[in-house]
Amino acid sequence: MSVFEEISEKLQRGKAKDVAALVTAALEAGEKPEAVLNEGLIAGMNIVGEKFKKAEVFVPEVLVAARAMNAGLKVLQPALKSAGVKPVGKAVICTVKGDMHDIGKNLVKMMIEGQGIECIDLGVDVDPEKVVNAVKESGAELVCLSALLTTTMTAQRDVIEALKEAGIRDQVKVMVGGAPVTQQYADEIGADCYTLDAASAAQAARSFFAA
Amino acid sequence: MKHLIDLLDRGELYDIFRNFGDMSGLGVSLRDLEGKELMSYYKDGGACICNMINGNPICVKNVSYSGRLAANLGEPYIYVCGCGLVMSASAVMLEDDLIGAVFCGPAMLWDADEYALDELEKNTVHTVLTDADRKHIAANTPQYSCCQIRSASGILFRLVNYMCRSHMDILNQRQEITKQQATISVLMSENRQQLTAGKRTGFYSPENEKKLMNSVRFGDKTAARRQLNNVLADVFLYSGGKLMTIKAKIYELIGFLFRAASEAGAAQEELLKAARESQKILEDEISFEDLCYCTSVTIERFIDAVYNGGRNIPGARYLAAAMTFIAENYACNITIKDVAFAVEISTSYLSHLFHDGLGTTFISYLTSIRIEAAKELLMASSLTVTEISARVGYTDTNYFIRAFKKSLGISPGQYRQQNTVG
Repeated sequence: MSVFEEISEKLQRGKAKDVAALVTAALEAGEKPEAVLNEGLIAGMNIVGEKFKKAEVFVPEVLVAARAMNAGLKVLQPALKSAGVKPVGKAVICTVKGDMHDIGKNLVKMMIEGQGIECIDLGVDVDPEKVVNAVKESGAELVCLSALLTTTMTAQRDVIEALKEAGIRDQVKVMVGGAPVTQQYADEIGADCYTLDAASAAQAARSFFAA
Repeated sequence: MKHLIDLLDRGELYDIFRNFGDMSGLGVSLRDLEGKELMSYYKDGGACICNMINGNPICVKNVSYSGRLAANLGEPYIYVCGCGLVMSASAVMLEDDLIGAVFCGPAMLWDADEYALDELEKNTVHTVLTDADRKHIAANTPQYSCCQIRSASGILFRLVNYMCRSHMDILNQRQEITKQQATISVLMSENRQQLTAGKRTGFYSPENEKKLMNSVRFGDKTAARRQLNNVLADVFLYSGGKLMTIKAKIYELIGFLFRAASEAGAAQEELLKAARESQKILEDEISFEDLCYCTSVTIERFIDAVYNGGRNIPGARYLAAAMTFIAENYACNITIKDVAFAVEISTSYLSHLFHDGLGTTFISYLTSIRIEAAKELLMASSLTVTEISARVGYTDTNYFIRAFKKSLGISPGQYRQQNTVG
């Protein structure tokens, strides 16, 4: 079994300590951080995601896998950050008001940082005002909003409205994502971009700053 | 909403908590929508992290959020709490209102290794916990598999919901009884008015009885309910309120309807079961309202038996379908032709069925349905007589007023006056 397969397997079984140890070992062995992330951690999480969709596993299994993922990410984060080119810009990221889910957001954050973009993480259940203030204070040019529930995705619209009211909507690009979010919804609320997963989010972010 | 919580049997709930908590090793608590603890049980005298940091703002926020999410899900919501341990939340609904949630946990779904201890430390750095506390917690938090936590939370969810539902059943029953009595009171006053207007000769109407019998034969529950209330009103007035007379008459009625149901093809076993349960009307201490409620439950069971047993009255199914069509379309301008067409029989056969099965004509039946509907609107809304007339299917208001007066002895306006409170 390759080290990536081992990482994936331990992650699926929720073995946090083992995943952290394997990631450390992989980096020491010279594996690229992006490869460890994509082929080890994300690959494992995707398998869990597929099984969840098919109702072969349920929420508890996803929780323990996510915990193991976080354990791996913690080790990986400094490596990802330093592998990125010098900062090309700033982004603000958060999970919207009323929503406490952060796995996806954390993933996107790390992927974006891996592209050399400085990422200000406002956390979960974030008021639109807080986003506006963070943009003003940091001069960030990208806002990333995550929502995992149909009931909370309307808060993404609220953030965009708040940015408009504060007169800074034109200063930023707004990117939205999350399970119930679609391109159609993103267009409807006036977001600049919708991405399906962390990888495409990171690429989209990169292209904003390259422009 | 506060009072709803008091409706829960706290003693019984605590017993459930205690049994579940002792068996599962998980702490159990009932919290309101803001996250405040209303009742809890922690095994081992409370040496549980939840109890130790009770009131911590992160906790409270998490709890409030999880309770609401659980209500949306309609099933247990399993999540990782602020301390990094696994909890389960199950919404508690009373009368369609969310009053809070029941939580069980915490549990560890992973090895209690150094990584876990380290994680616990980082997560609880802003709490009052000491390192000794954390070591104790790590050693004593139950370890569960993913499958076990789902089962445990599922059991607690069902237990609490069954308990709430059984209380709901009692509440609903009281509501039904009160509603029935209100209806019967109105019918009694109508009865008296009709008597004074010379529209009937005595308190007890054999017609109402016959209509009820037909509804039972044809399995028409809605009509039966209405007609039974009429009969009960008649019985009360006729008996002068004497409970013994009322009971005797009701017992007679039940026997009479038992036969009707039996002739309509209901299974004996089912009928006997319903009859057995109706024996409580013979109890000494029973009140009039419980008598009424028990009778209506019995009659409905008879009708169910008829429905289940298949009917052996020819054409009964067509007649029932016609009655359903009329119930749904009385507000439109329908003729016997329309109904016959809908039910796929000839107009003459339908006319025949109305005569043989219900002892009435199509027009009479349709009129009675419309007038019933009009009565409700007169009592419960502030629509004008013209508006009501149109709503129940009459294009000509004067025609409606005449038909109403012919049936009840007074005009719609007078009916409204006499039946509106205050």
